[in-house]
Amino acid sequence: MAVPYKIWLSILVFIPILAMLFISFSNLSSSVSVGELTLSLAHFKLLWESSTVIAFRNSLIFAVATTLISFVLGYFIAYEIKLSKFKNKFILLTFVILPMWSNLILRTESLANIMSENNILKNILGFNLFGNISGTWMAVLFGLVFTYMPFMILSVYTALEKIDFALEEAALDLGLRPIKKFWKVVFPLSFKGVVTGAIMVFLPTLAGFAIPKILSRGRIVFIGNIIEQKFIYTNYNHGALLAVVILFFILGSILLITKFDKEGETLL
Amino acid sequence: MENQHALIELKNISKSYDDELVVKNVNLTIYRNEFLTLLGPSGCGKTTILRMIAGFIKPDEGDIIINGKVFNDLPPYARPIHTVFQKYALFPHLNVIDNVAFGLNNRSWEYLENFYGQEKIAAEIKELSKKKEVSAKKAIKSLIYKDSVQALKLVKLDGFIKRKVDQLSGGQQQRVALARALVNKPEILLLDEPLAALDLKLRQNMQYELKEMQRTLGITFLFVTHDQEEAMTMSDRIVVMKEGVIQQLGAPKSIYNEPINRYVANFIGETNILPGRYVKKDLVNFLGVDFKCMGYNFNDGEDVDVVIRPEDFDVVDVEKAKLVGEVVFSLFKGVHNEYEVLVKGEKLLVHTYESYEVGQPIGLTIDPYEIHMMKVETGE
Amino acid sequence: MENQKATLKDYGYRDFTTLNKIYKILKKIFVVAIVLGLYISIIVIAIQSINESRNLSIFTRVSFQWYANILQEEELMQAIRNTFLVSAIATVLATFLGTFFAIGLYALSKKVRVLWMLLNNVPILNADIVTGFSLMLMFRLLMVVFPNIFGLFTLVMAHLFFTIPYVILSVMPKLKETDPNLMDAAMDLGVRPYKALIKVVIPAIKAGIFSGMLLALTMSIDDFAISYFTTGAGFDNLSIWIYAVIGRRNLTPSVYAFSTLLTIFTLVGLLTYQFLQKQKKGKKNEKNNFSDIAS
Repeated sequence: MAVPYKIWLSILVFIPILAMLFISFSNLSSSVSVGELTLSLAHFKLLWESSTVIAFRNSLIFAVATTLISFVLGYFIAYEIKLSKFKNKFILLTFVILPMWSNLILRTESLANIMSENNILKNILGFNLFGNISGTWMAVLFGLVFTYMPFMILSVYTALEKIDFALEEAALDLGLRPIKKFWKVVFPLSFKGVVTGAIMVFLPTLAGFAIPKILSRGRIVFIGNIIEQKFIYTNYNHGALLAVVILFFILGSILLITKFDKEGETLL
Repeated sequence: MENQHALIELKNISKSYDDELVVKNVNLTIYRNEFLTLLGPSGCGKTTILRMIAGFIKPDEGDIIINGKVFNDLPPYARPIHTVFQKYALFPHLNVIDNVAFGLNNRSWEYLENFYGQEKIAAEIKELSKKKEVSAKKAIKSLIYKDSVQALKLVKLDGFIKRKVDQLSGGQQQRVALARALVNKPEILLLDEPLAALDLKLRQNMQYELKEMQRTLGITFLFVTHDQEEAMTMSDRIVVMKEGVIQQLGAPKSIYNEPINRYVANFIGETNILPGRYVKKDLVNFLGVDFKCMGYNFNDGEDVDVVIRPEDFDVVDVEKAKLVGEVVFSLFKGVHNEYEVLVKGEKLLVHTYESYEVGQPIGLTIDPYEIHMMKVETGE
Repeated sequence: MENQKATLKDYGYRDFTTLNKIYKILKKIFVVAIVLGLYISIIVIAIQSINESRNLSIFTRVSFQWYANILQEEELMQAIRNTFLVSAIATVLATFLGTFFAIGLYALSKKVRVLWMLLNNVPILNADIVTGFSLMLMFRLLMVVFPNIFGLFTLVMAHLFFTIPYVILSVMPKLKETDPNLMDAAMDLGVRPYKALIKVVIPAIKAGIFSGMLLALTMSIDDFAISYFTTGAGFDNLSIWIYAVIGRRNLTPSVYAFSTLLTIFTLVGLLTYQFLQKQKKGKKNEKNNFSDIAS
């Protein structure tokens, strides 16, 4: 019974990737017939174009910044949930996840609205909550952080829940104040959750294009936006190449993680 | 023992959980250099009392006085008390030596200077400075390391210094937990059923080791268990508890030989409890026979509960016996034989070395000083 | 004789109680700020949904007209219909196929299974844009044979691609939990293998199937990037439609109304589920108590 799935997976995993690789190296397009196919590295010039480099730089910087900020804020929230005297933690977690159930594009768009000069909150409250940051890096960062933070919160909270409470009591018993107990016992034992959360924030941010485009009004270009452009102008060769680069980045990150965590616990 | 040796005083301690009184108005004094055991079934409040002394729980009423000071509001990290937890609670992200040194490694420098004293630190600096200048802090770190190794030696685990915690057996983990607590030189060591998860032989070995350790170190061990044999083996004094109330407090011998009520008599060892009547001074009547007894002062004609331990029966020839009965059940227990003997309608438990068959008549007498009597409790 | 209170100072610790109080208040403020940040967008959406004016910058009056208007907006309804259609088909197929694939994978030897599970994770871990783009390329290649392939078909295929792994991930642990002898026991009693599977194994893992189905549905309904690349013939789902309309500033507030409705619906659903779980636990406890008394 597994055979059909093996076939399915092989087709859908390998063939698209092969296709992508192939197209990045060839000149296949709608205007070229089969007879004229050549393989070349011609498209690689794209990688050194300044617009591409800038886009890569943007994607990386924002991904790292988003991950770091989500980590700090998200860990804080996860820890507060853990410490809370509220009996039903599930409800608290539900409230954290709830925004994710709204349409992402719609949410981002409404954020863009309230970050512009005149917006509905300014109308109601009398002042501009976000200043006029629409179109700036601050808007993009805010949107990215608060879109993906719930992943970090969930991941960290899961790791925190697994810590045996007796270990914390032992630390207190041995003379550690609560703050020291956190740094020396709780945080080290929750680290796997932090890494998982970091991946879940870093990768989508790196490869995203919708959020940056909406919040920066197209001014800040991510690598995803370039791929989007290539897609729209049916320049699939270039688009495929860039997608392949992102893919390598993802594979690299995952390899790093597996090296760091030999038991393979982190990812699931 | 005079009051000046008193280390811990529990005064009118009460604690409830969900409207249920778990500890009811307990008063207890614990002295220096003693091995005290809180003994009782689950739910009797013994662990709660332990955790209140450790500082994880606050008593609803009453005071916990240690070294003459009220400790109720003092958090656990500030108390000169350390705990060996039931499931050991070893830190999985640290190896053995780091676990043991954990408490000391995280103390402030002022504390550690006090802990070791200037002389010791100076001596250590001298010793380490052979190759190059060594700071006080480095000397202290070195002292901590040496102390930790020493603690592991004490629990016979000095070969396991760099081991990972998850590679240790239950018994080894427990000894690491012990070393981790002891290296901090606490005045009081709390042990929360630490031997519960070990198998029998290991448990018995640890019981002796713990007793020896307490004698050597001279600090107070406060031990919690539901196993009465364990309590009897190790303790200087035992506190028998039931439903949050102390039933009896005393040395193992006196609790065993002179239980104060039915509960204690039944909880400790095996026993026979028979209704009787205190005829007059030094004479008690039970099973229709008068027995000489000694050391009790009940009223003439008062009803009493007579307690006789199975091994206190002397098996004699039927003609010379005060009680004659028939063996109805026999069990070979290795150390002795256990018999159920039917005497005048009462089943008595008798331990003896001699062999008898089921159905055989058997004669019993009891020495006067082995007849123990308790006041009859109403409404039990 | 009154005993003195033991102080932290006696034992070498500084008293931080006042500092702790300030710290606690600061923490609470910080939590509120972050939660606000998480919720600001959906709060604004809710506000827009009850704004009488179509102007996104000015709030005139409270009005629920946009809620009533949802059914009137043809484009919006089309997008919604498309979204639900794709998600429904994909979820049902994914649950069905995913369950059987999981059972099939489970029957494999450990080494082979681990390999395929790794491959199974690729759609999950891969970035949406890469998955979408590469699938699009593959479909383009197939266009040679099936010129009209882009549209509902490719969309469903793409959704299946990334939802089936989630179903498998939900079902696998449950499979591992079940007694391996279950199938054998059934067949020993004379049931044919295929029927045994359906009547014995499936009920045992139904919790996993259910959660897998929910997961698939969630991932499918909210998908943007993958759908963006793999759709065609004007078959837009909700996300794509909104994304396209954004620039034009013609976004009808009925979208906000619809989204708010969905959010409320989800919230109520989750809370009801929690409530029912509690009821179940309560009844179980009662049952246990009764059996104690009875015995």
